[in-house]
Amino acid sequence: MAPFDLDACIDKVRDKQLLGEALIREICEKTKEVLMRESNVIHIASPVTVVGDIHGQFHDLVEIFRIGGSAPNTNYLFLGDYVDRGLHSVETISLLTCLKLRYPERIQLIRGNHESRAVTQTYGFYLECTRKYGSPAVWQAFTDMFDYLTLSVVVDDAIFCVHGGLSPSIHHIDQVKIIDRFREIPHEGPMADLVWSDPDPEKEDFAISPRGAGYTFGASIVKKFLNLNGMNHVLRAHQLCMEGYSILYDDQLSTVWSAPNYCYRCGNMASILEVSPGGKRYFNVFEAAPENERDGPNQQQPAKAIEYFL
Amino acid sequence: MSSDQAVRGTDDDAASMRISAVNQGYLKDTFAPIFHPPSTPSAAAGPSSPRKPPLINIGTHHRTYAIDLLIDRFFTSCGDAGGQVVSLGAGSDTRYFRYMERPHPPHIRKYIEVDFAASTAHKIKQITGSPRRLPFLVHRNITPDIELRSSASSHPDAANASPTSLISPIYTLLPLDLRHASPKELNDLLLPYLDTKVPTLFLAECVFCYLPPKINETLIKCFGQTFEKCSGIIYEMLGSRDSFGQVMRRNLASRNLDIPGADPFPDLSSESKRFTDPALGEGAFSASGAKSLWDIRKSVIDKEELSRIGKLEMLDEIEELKLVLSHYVIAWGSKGEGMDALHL
Repeated sequence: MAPFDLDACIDKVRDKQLLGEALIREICEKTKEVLMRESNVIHIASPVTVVGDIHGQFHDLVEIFRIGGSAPNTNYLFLGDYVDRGLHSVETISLLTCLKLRYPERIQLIRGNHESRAVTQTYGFYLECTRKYGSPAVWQAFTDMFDYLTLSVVVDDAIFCVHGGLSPSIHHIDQVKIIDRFREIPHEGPMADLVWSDPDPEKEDFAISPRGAGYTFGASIVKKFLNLNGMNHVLRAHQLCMEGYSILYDDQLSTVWSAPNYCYRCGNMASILEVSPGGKRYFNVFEAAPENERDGPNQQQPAKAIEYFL
Repeated sequence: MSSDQAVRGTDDDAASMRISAVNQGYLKDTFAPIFHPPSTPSAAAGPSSPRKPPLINIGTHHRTYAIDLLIDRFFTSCGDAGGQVVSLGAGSDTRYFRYMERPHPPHIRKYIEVDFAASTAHKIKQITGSPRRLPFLVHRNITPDIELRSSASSHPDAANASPTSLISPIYTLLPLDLRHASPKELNDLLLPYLDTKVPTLFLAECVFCYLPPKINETLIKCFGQTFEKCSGIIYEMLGSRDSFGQVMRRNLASRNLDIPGADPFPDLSSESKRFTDPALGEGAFSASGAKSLWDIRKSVIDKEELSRIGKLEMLDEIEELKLVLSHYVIAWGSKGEGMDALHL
């Protein structure tokens, strides 16, 4: 294929235009080459702005760049769950993939539990791809690329960032490094735990998760993990926060959630976390972007129902 | 104020949610396909699309399970003499048929469904167009004695008008626009078919929320005053004023739906007292309570059943489920001797 103009692609996707299927496949191939070289634990330095679940809410992603600053002027760390649930998963993951390819050192993409073939077939990404492209080819290209996404990032050797949470199989981060991540997310085991687990303030230890995958874990687990690894904070996403974020365990763990008015129904706030040198952490809270009113469920062809029990 | 068509359209949502829950294995309902596809043309919003998200299937399961449980408890307290049920705004509901299909159905003396004439006319067509189900209008294996009636009308085509009433020994389908019904009209419609001395349950599933609060008060009062032994079950969304409630009202408004009937009940506490409200006067009930669908999930549904449905689909998150299910409640009330066993 002829060399393509990545900057032109980025402009196009930012404008919410779809890229052609062949171009998507090429971009995914090239991005895999970049991702392949990354460790399961990437070490980066602040300043960095950390983003939680986006779930296909493209207009809110654009809002995030407005609030947090454009790449590459701002460094970004995305904690996964780019697709499913929202209306524009394709545009969302297309933009993030292009940005990663364009600025690999400025943008980090972690894998979430929705970056999975099984989950995307239940929660909307597969359907959206087939509707917008007429075939599953684009879904295949993206889900193949998901297999290459890293599992964790450490900021300033102090903040352990992962999509879900901790694992009973992982005490030291060296154990994360030896995971073979280049595959579909398994149903169980350390890789599944990292993307599926949740903190539970009512428990001290690990317990079975009501989600059916991963575990819940308590304060003492976090404390032990941080001590053993010489770090001071666990930062994750994965759970809806009505206020946009939540802080637990004496500020040893926090959750950042970046999809405002989730599913156009939950009425929640969202946030991005700005980490500055010196360990400063600031949750920048925001509401749903006004563009959602003009390009929301009712404006799609055909209009998409916001489901309530009626 | 909601548009007529919009409110009738909510039955399309209920019907398609029922079908989805049945197809995914949450509910058993051999009658649901008879009453789907629905009467009013679906909006392009696609309420008739077959498969709903796991969250919706779960909510549909919990609501059906809990209301069935309450109704079973009602019939238990009726004893051998049996009881009567009046289902307001029943739409495409299949409950009567599901109950009669059981190996040992409860002793249902009368089961009356009330809805807009356009809806009852449509349901009659669906019932009469499916002859294999007719036996369930009375009891299995007995040929039913059915009378179909059209609404009284001075229209020249009245004689050819579709029937809007179906009267059979137990199951009875009657037309009434609840928004404009006075207590007298309600009694005139129902009392020819009911015995006021027999324990009677009225069911209002997602219907009061669309009506003005005064009408709902009148309806509850009417039942409370007319029947010596009476129970009521109401299921609907809370009229919450939190951000979820605000977003819900906005989203419903874009479908021309308004929920004035939910406004006086922004929380569980207010719903749990609505049957014993002194404003109901002589029609007040003596016991009442309410639980959200989330409470029901936590404390009412049998653990084995929860485990069974948990295996049907992958639910990826709990927070959203808790948020949505916490905003839907089932409220119950009862009056009369022996009726207070009705609760969750």
